[in-house]
Amino acid sequence: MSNAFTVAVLISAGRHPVSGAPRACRGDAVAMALGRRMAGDGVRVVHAGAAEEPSLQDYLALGAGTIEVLPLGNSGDAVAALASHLKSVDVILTGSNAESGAGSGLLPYALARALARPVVANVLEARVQKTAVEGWDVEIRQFLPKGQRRRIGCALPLVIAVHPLAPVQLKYAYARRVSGRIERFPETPAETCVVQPGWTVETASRRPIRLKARETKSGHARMQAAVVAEAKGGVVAFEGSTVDKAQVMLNYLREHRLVDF
Amino acid sequence: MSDVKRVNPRRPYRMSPAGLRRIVLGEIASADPHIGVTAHEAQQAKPLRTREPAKRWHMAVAHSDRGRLDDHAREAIAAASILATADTGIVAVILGELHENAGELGADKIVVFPDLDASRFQPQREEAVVHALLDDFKPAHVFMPDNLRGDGDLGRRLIAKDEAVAATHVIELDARHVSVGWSGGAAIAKAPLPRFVLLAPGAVDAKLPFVGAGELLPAPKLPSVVEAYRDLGLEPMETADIALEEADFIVSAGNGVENVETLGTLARTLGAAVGASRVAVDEGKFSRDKQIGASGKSVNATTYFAIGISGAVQHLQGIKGCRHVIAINRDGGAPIVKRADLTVIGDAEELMQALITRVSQAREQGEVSRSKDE
Amino acid sequence: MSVAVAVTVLFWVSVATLAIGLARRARLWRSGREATVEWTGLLAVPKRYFVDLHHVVARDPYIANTHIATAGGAFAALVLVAINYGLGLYAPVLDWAILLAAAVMLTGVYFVWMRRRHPPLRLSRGAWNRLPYTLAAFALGLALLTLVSSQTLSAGIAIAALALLLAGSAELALGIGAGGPMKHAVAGLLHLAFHPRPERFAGVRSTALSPLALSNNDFGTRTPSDFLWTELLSFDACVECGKCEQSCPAFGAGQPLNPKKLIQDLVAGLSGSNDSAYAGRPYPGIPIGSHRGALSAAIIPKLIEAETVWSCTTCRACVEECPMLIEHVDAIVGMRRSLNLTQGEVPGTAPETLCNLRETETQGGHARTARYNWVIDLDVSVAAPGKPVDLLLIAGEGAFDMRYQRTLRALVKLLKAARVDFAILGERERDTGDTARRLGDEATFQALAKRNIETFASLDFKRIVTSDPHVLHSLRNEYPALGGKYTVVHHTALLAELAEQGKLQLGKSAEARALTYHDPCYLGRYNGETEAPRALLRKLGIEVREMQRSGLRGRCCGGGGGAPLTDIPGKQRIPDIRMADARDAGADVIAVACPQCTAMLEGVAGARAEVLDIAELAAASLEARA
Repeated sequence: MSNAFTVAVLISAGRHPVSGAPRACRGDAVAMALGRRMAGDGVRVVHAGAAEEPSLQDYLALGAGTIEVLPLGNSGDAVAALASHLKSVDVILTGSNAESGAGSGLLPYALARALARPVVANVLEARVQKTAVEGWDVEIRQFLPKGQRRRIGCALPLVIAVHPLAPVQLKYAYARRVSGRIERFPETPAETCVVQPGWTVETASRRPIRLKARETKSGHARMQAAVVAEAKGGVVAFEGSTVDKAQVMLNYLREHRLVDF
Repeated sequence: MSDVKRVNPRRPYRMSPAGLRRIVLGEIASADPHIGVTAHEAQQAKPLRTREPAKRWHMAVAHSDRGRLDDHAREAIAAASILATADTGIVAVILGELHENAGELGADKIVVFPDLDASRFQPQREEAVVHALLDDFKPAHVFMPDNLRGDGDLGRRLIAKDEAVAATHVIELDARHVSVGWSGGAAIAKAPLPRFVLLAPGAVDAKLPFVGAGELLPAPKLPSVVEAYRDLGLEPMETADIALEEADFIVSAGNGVENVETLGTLARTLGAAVGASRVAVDEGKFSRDKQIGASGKSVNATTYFAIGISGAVQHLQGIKGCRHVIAINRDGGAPIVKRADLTVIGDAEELMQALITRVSQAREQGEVSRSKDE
Repeated sequence: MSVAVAVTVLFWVSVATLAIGLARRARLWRSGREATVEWTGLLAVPKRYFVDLHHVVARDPYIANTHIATAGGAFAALVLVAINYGLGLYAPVLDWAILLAAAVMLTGVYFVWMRRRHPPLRLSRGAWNRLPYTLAAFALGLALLTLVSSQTLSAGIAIAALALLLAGSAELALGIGAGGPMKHAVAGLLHLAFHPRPERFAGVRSTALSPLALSNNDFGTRTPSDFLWTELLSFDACVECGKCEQSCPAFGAGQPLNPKKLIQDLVAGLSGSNDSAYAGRPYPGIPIGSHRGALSAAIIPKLIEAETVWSCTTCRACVEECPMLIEHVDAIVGMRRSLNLTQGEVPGTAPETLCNLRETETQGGHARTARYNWVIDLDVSVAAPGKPVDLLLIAGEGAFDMRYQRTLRALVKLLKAARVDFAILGERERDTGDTARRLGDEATFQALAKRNIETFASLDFKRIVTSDPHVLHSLRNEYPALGGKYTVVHHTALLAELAEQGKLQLGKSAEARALTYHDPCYLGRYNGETEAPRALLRKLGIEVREMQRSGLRGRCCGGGGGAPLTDIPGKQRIPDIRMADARDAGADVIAVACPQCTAMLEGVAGARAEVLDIAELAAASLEARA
């Protein structure tokens, strides 16, 4: 291996949001593809959890090669187990959010904290290069909304949370799924370092309710609101000059704060 | 221009579901830039949320965007104030310049750090600054917009640092609970309201019937922090080249657009990405990657201008995720009219030209008035 | 040395040359995979040649007659030469017979020459253009020798005649070994004997793809030697007539596929050469001369570009037209399988669709529970174990499409009007995996098929009815190889049957506009069902204005084989071409019988004929009656 730096990708058990079928977590799969681009076949692929997890097969098909599996004990704390397993790895890649559970996106931050390393999130591309003085440095392209992109430099080692829109192509090949391997590691005793709220999952799915300020309205105001609400949706401007109509459009944009002028 | 408001006899109207024309009260077609806001709403002064002295605090932290707070940031401040008891004060920590009054958004105390603008990447300094304020105020709850503009990142850094109990991507909350999407949104999970709440967009109605005290606190001095990160700056970009999937503002052309040049100019004027219907792509006016619809791309823009697009089902499928759809169409019976929030009937070319002129004027005026503010 | 002896020597030298060439070529073929062949196929060659092959060739009577004269004359002459000169009989009577055969051949060659003067674009030039001359040389040489041998023969004429014969014999004898045009004669006859789908000669429309043995790590065709040896042999049978390229919808639309070139490229791969000798039309947009292959070198992209194999709609028009009965689609799917299964290289939005199929068992990533949302107000029973039912209705992927739901609702209405005992599959329904299979994802296809077969095994039904010819094809023709055997009918066939039996009382259609019927490839070419839809339309009192290409030779809508997903760009879109066909036929309405065709043809922009499923037309006639 010509790379003198090491790269590991963390993968989690993915679930399809509609069918719930096990699959490679889309974000983690993207991170894995980015990892392969950085380190070729030398990238390590690590899963904290059960080796029997069916979604691991998908990662193999996507080119994981060999997956290192760290079993989690009853404490179930992935961060501590991963931190001790990945101490010597220079670049740790993760997806942005897990697909099972809350998908809080906190893991890369907690892991970086546990390893006392910098962390950069929403990463689209990362290029590691040798620096003149102190070894390895990574140049990162970060996703920002509305098409903006930022470049960030950082020394190794670090944790990178990959944005799902990272420009990689996922290639699912059944033959690789057959030839891939899963390597089990012994369980490591670990202390908990991420406090999770006590989530209770509701059985039926529903629309979330928007938090609204309670308001005491006058009768007139309620009437007014009702009239406006009734007419809401589908304003059509037929007549008037083109200038008037342009003004109508601009007004709409301003009214809904869609433009900042 | 004369100050006397003249009522345009052909002013715009709304079509009610029953097909009746309805001129909505308070809406006047004039040069007044804010005519859409009904007079009733604009005039009434709102009461203070509370007059009691603060015994405890809720904190909202958000980056500003060119001196203003976007909807998502407003929602974080609103959440902090809606969930506050009468003896709870709201402190808003704004990173970046602020040219508006956060008191109207519900904040009682406002701390602004003009140098911590979202366009720069200095997470460690931000973390140190906010952490110092957390130590000062010891807020019971901290609300932040969970966005990709830096707030989601900063929030997670703070959570990891404190090893705090936290909820992110919160889609629903009340005084005791938060709810988040579970397993990629397949279900909803509930937990007690934690200290850190990172809000998904739209979880809170930012419209408040009250205001906060809005006291601007002097900004503490920035600590000297050696960042582990080197901010190499934002990449220059051309809005028209933004991938449609991530564009927030899209101007899209259909069959009715003859002149692609005009459309491009309009897109540049509005700072929008360019999309197209299948017909327009098939005719070779646009490349295949611009195609929006079932067989093309699905887009989630906040604003979607459909110009000369009749609105075939396949196209409407692709714009399901768009919040505001504005249509320019020659035919008032086209299916797009049903989908659009605003439809303007007329010739696409003429209307685009008029809009370009009007928006350019407004932009200039806007810049003048803003520089007057400063 | 007498002239006759020279002919004998020439004959045996030619036979030896041919034998050596054949042995060398056979070694190349045999580097392909082992195939189970019936050696008795050799005995069936005359029937397969005169019946099955000529059935295709006879569509062009000019070339059919020309070929009968040329090949028949040549064959007769060769047999006679073998007897008279090969065995050294030198009987003058036989010389007269040889003269007659040569004359017949010469007549045929004249027509070959005529065609080659202004050949249609689909014909390859190059070596093929010299054929009229070399064949004429052979026939003339024979004629001269036999004509003049009885009289005194001047040395000059004898030498000239022998030279002509030598030139002609070289073409025939060297063809197979050197890969010349005449290799088609030998390879073609052997191909008829060892055809990879011998059931085609038993009158079966053999169209099912054969399953891959995934557990044996069989992941498709990566190199030419991954083809069955019988397939390699079949490629050598190609006569480069270009009937395939003429009928290929992708070629017509300017996508980078030309079935003839594809077969010729595979021949180049077989013989380890490049494509510079190819003298036909190229893949649109891909220049000739830069591609090279070898028996055990990867085909893609050095020999064939990936976009070529992804342009195919698997419509089988090329197979239908091929006079040499070559199976182009099998070859293409074989290469797709390798790309897909070993590299995951699939273009366009196809990877997304395949992903959806693996993760949601639907193509669009829908919830399975949503498939029958359109039926909610129609009071239809849902199939369940222990609930026997006559007919199981499978809606297919079209059930998620709002436009196609109109067709499905019409179908349900008709079934109810006919008081048929039927049930829908409900949320037990999964995609059949047809699209995955065409895209080369055999693993996903087999996984889906296995689960579907289990589902069907738990239910009690007599027949399956579907409005989707792709569902029909995979259930009827491809599931049997995986252990699922069902009686599957297409909705048009069922409705025609019900109307025939009087159970369904159809009215006269109110449709006054000119109407044409577009045959879905997977119903027509794949299953030979072209009559039932037309019969149904006749029952409705509708006269069908046939498009120029219809029935078994209908033009594809562009929706098959996952082509809308791989979306390889061309100059035109295939459905636009089909819509133009309808316009040429003067039709204002296109009757369809497939959700893919509906979607593709409805997607045509601008003024176009209205697209209506036959079920919609039939259901409308019920209303007219009521």
